[in-house]
Amino acid sequence: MEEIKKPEESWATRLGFIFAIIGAMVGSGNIWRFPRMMAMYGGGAFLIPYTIALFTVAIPLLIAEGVIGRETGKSTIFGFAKYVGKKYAWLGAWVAWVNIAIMFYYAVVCGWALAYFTKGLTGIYGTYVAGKGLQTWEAFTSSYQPLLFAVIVWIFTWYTLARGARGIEKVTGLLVPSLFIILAVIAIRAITLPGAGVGLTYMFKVDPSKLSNAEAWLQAYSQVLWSTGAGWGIYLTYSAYLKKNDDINLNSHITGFGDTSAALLAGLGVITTVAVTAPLLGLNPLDVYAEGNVGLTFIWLTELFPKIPAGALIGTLFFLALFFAAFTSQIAIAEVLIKNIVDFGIPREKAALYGSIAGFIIGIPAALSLDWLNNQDWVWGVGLLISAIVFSIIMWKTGLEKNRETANRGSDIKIGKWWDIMIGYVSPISIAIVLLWWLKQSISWYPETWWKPTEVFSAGTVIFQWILAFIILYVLFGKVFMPKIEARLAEEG
Amino acid sequence: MKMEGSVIATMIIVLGFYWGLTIYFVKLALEKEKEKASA
Repeated sequence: MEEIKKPEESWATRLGFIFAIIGAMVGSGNIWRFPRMMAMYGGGAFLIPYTIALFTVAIPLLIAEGVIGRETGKSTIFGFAKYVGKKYAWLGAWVAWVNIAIMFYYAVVCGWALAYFTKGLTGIYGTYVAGKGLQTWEAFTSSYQPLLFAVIVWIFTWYTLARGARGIEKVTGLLVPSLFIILAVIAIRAITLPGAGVGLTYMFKVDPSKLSNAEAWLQAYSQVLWSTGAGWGIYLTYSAYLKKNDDINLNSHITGFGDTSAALLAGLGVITTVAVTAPLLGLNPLDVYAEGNVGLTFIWLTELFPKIPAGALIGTLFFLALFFAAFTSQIAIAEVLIKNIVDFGIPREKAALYGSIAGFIIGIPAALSLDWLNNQDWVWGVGLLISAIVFSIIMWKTGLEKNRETANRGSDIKIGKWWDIMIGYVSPISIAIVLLWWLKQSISWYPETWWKPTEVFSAGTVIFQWILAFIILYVLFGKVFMPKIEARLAEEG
Repeated sequence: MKMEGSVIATMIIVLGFYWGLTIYFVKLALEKEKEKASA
């Protein structure tokens, strides 16, 4: 017999779920990181390791998350406790915590995009003054505005999540199609610019020599993991609102492919705009791509938009798209927290309110200090790789074949034994390599002080904060809250 | 600047692969859903 769920704890339609999950995974990284990576690491050639990573790591991980979410109807803590055993609840708490730690600063980033959209309404992206981009950015980040826009983002988040899955469905049903339309408008403007061929060449010229560069592979795997949201616990949480015989496998493929499709659309707009306009300011486009996510988006693009026809409109639309992408991800990241609170028996409205207030307050340092935000982005961005490995461990523990059969039940496409190999071996090994590479990189950034927890991007700060989080989460969810977890599990039989 | 033929070919292959398969998968999902609803 099919179980009966409250309306706010289930998706109304399949398309609603698809929009929600694509909205969750298409975030700022699709718009500000993917185009840079593609331009810098071999153009079309970058897509070879990227596509391999999509099939060997991302889609298998999404399927694993879907199995736990659909089978338990819970988020990460109770999901792990119910699916594999109560002593794994603290590992579910780790997955949740990494999301929550990201949520604190991601709401601030989302606020930046909203702020820059409102700036666009004043026509700022239609006028060029040398150095204006940096000046605007510095004035913005040293003012109260990041805090103000973070408040607005949290009010929107609370309003959406207080209504549960149905609230998410309504918001993403509107924002996700709008996002694709806006990205298409920006892409069409960019590729019809005189000289757009240079940008398309950056994007699609295959430079096979880059394939022998290990860094291109590691960046491709990192991009896939951060962009598709595989291993974050978001897909698990959204799958908790599915029915017992709903599809997992086809939805996972749609997530991976939809996410990349949005990234390519954004790439057409961003790479081409930069390639055409940067030389007009005497800049090498590759230097602009190398400026980093924030540098490219909030500093350089604001100076480059005035150089294209209808730049004021395109610039404003660009930041609206960035806000839509970031906000639909923000609600997904925050939902991992809210659903975990709801699982502990707190009513949803209260959970959304408490979660949003806490999210704003604990996120204040990120709104006030870029160093703090960058540090948290570094520590927990790499921490997501640990979460992804945790999912492979859970799949091993509960039986790869059994999990494959569970995923196939009700799914519109069936997966074969290849999934066992990917989730059991290829995924954890490749993620461990990527993880070690990032830590090795960070040691080269601070050869003398790499061990220091006080450096923004050091290996020391990662290890220190991870160990602290592991100890606290183990004590809280392996010991202190265990009676509550046991009681809730017993109540549900 | 005139684009090389190989660039245009790669663009068609890449966009066709990702955009084409995304649309195909979504269409398949909606068809399957319709089938389940009418069964």
